[in-house]
Amino acid sequence: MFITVTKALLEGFSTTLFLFGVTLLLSLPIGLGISFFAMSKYPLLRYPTRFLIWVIRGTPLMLQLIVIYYGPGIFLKANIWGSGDQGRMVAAIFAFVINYSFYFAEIFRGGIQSIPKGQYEAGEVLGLSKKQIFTHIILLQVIKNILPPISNEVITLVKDTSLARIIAVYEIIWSGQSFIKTAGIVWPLFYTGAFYLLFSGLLEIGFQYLERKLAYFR
Amino acid sequence: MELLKVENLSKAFANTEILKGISFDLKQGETISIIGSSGSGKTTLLRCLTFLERADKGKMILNQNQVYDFEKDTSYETIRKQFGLVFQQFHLFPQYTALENVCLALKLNGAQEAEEKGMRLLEEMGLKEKADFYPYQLSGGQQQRVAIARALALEPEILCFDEPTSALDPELTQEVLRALKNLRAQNKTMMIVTHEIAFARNISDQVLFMDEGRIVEKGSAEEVIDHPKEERTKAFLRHMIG
Repeated sequence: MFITVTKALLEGFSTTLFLFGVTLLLSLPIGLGISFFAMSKYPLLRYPTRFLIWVIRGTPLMLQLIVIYYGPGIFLKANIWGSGDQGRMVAAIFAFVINYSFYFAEIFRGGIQSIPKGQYEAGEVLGLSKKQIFTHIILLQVIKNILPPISNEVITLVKDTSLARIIAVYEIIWSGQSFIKTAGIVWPLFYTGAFYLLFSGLLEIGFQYLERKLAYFR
Repeated sequence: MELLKVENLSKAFANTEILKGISFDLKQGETISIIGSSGSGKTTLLRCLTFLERADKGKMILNQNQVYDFEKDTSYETIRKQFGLVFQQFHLFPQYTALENVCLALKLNGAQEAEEKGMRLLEEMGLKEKADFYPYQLSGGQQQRVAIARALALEPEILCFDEPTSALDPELTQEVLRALKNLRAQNKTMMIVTHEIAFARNISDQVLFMDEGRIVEKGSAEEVIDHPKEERTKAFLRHMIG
């Protein structure tokens, strides 16, 4: 039984990992882009972005999943997500990427604004372009500053993926729970915790490694 | 030969006029010190010349033929290249070693032998053995000397210093002032905003005394510091020297 359960949970966990990986991969760069909008000197970019940050951060991710998945069908009379498991996964990824992009955007904004103005000015008087200043001077300092809050968010994401079951994405908790109905056993649900712990543990080791890597400067 | 001529430079922030028509000349190889109390506009003057602030009005003429009109002209890259600036707070890049700080702009410009040049400059600043140190591992005086080497790397015509020793302990001030004297001996053209009156008297060909956005008095160090004519200059010097 243990092996059957483990196999089933691993299958669910692969869905969890997929959702986690794709969300992370997309939301980090998108978040960086949003942070630039949020800091833009043009009010027409800045204010709508701030408004969206407020909406996305101010409502539960679970609700966002429901609105994004069911909303188009109800309001547009169209199923834009496609059918079946795949459609639900696409909708889940969409919701997670939006949610996490805006969270990351705020972390990037904080990190970028924490860099002293003098760093930019020193680059400017050396004749460097805005892009050179950002990529060669600012970015690494920002990464070092935001690593702790980013690692927090990433570990939260691991656990948040379980919310996707609200639109029937078969992630690991779904797999665990299904044994209650099919076999009348609850322990597989508890057992899912081990997968989360193991994975978040690995992530923490990874982040600690990165923090040590960047400890060479202050 | 006149290297820089500044004419009627003006700058206001919101409704406060910080610079009210600044004019002066700087000859090739000259060192000019700008003294005056805080808020007199000294730093803003340097920041306008290096385009960190945008002056509202006025002109500058470089090498007697490159004219930049602050009111009309927009692109300033070629003019800016002729100025180097050393900041009060150094502003070294923390993730780069001393040598990397000096070489960064050279490398990004694709210059050959950037490292050799960087080493030469660090050696000149007495920091050869600190080349691989990161800024946080250096004293304030050492950091400021790295910053000077970094500014020198691009070989600007005019090297500007914005209170280069104001963030330093007295015992570290001397090593930076010595570095400036060495540059003076090499006939580098320099503009130094400073509160070190004795040093300014010692090193300067010209001294400008600024007050409330105007140049109140200018002339040789002897004229301005030893024999000031204006009441405001006298009051400032009395206060500074005691």
